[in-house]
Amino acid sequence: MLVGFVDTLLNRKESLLQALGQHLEISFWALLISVLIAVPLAIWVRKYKKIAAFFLQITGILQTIPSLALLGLLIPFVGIGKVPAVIALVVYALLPIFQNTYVGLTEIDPSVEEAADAMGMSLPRKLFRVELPIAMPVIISGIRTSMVMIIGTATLAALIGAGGLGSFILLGIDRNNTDLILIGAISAALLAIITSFLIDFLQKMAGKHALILLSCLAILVGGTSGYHAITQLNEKVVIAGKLGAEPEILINMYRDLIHVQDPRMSVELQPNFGKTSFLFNALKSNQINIYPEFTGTVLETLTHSKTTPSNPWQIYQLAKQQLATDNQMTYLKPMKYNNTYGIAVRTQFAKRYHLKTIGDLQSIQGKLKAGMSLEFMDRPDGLKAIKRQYHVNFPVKGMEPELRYRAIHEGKVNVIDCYSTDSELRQYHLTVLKDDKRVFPTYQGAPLMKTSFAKRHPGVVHALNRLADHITEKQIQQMNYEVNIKKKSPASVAHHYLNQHHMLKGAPK
Amino acid sequence: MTQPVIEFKHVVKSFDGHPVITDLNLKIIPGEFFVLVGSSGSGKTTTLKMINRLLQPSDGEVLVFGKNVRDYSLPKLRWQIGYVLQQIALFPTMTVAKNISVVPEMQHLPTKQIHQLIKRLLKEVGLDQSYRFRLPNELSGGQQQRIGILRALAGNPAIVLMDEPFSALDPLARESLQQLVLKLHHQYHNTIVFVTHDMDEALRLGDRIGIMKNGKLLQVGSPKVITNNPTNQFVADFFSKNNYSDLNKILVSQVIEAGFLITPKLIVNQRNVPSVEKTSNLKEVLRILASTALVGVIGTHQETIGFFNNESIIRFLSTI
Repeated sequence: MLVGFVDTLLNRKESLLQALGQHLEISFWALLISVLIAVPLAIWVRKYKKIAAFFLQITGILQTIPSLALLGLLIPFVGIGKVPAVIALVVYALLPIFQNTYVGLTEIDPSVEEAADAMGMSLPRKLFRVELPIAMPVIISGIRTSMVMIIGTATLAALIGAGGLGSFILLGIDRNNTDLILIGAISAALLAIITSFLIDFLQKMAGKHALILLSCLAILVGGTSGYHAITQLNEKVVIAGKLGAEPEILINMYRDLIHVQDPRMSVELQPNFGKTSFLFNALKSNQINIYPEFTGTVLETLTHSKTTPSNPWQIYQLAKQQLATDNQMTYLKPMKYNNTYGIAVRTQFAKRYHLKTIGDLQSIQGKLKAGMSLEFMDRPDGLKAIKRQYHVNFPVKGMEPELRYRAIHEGKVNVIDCYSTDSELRQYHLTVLKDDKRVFPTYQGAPLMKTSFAKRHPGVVHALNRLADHITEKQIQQMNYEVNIKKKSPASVAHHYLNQHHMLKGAPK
Repeated sequence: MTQPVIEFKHVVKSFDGHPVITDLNLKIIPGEFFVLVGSSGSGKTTTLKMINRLLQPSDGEVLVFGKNVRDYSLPKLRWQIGYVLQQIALFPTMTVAKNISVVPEMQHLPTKQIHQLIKRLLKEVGLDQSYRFRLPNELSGGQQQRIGILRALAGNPAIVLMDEPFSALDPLARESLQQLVLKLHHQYHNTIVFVTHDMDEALRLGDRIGIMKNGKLLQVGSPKVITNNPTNQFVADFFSKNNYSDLNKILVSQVIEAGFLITPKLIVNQRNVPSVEKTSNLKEVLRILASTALVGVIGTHQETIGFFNNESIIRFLSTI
């Protein structure tokens, strides 16, 4: 367990550093902006009790909005990415800073205020020399409270494509990988503790030094953000992928293929960007340019098609046509493999009973004990369809996706459901039974982009179409296995595949 | 006659339509130590705060150096008026040195000069140079108020206002600070307006004393005039305000024990002085003092053991 954790940590240290950087960047801006809003506001309203009470109410109400809902509400207005994440965090952080600044300033001994007045201090001088220094410990503790909250809540930013440590947690949940969840959670907690210490340290430092240090931090973070913003101004292709190893391998292939076509083109990858609807919205709002999407998902989730053809080619054609007319998007040609549901048994078990298709299970159904995911058992095109179409029946236990593999490995069950490209199929020596009656819908991956982008970059379209009808289920399983289990980097796995299949030798003109 | 430093002309002050000062007229002469005395609610602090415009009069004029305080810019007015508070109210986040240099810094005095000023001032109040870097909460109450006084003096003001500066201190610290204030006053010759509710303190410090009650100045005069010719009205007023209504319960022997008996050696003319016994009460003493300056006290063997005058009795009363 611990060894696994350390392994995962070492293997991911680069992406962990990147996530930490993003997390810090989002948190820093959110904290800075909320201080810049809340502190002057509190200074302004401290003399007017009623207005102050009004603002306390408002900031209090803002804080009660569930963070997830707030992020969702912001998407129509500011899209996805770092901007809405920072806005949401600012909304959250306002209350503690505002409240503490207000309390700190209004609880100053009135005789000290009178002394300052009687010495002939101007209002700004009194504020900066007397009032703020006295209120500072209370203000700082408000800032600290906000900051811990920001760092914790910023993990949700991953949901809207802003990256950060939350992407580890999301990825972990998605892959049922406790190590990844732990890495994300522990890093966020450590970050909160360390920054909390930093604030203590700053408070103890003399005012001038603290100011210098803070300015340096601001320039550093601001400079990095600014640099990112400027580089983004250049025509650059941003390719994003959903959570997981497979999309990350694919987008690495996309980048390599584009580079072969045009070495000068700058390509930025955004792996583990989020779930389907986020990617789709990001594509709509031009925050990303390309992402791989499955044909079945297009019909089911994106265009809400009323009919679903059974032939894979017809599914692709329908998806392509609907995307073009409804969303002005271009859907390039799909790869060969079909990432759909499957029924798997151990390879030895299949050999012993001569199992090749799902239908073959019928002859041994008395011997079967199945472990399946709850979603598969519930879906109309899942277990129910199998039982109906193949006339098989066996006892089924519902279990978590990851547990199924362990259960079949330890012999507790002997049939499970799976995704046809899962790396565990290879890891645990499992065989997927053929769905010869085509009960499961087809999910073939293909690059999706806006039609306007495709017209501007015919070279990119040409480069990506070279993947069409390539990569079999066995091959993608193997690649997933190398990334997930052997901990190779998705980039090297992608590169290796393209190299083996002679796709790196320059585009045929 | 010299021009008064501070002058109140028909000054009225009300809070929320409720009058606190009614028609106040007062001239304070350059270099004098003027004490405003009165019980709480008499309007003495309100009067003080109208001088440096912490409060504005509702009607009438307050003049400083012959000019209406309204016509000064606030910093200009306040930099020449030092202010010492009852709550001391040093700036808690600033060191002793920083507190003292608040006004000189605003006046853009060179750093070197400020440094020397602090050195000299600390010496004058008998504090070691190491106190410079201490924070107010590291000082005793008496030490804090020394710094409070230095903060008020640092801008070299012509006028210093003191609002019950020693009433929160213990008797020992109060005594030594009173000495200090007198010493500094002799040294700098600035005009001091000092507010207190303690008659003893007023008599000890003031060149002139003004007695206030219910927003009116009842009497202004030197300690001698006040003690020797108090209006009956004043004595009754001032003491009835305090808890002195049971004067007939206080015995002469108690006043003697408290140490306010004047020994016979100090009194030159002892003849024809009315006398009381040690078992008499204070009301009787006061009744006699209203018409004569001296009362003798007769011991158990009919010998005169000492005397009371107005001043000693008032001093005694102010200690209760």
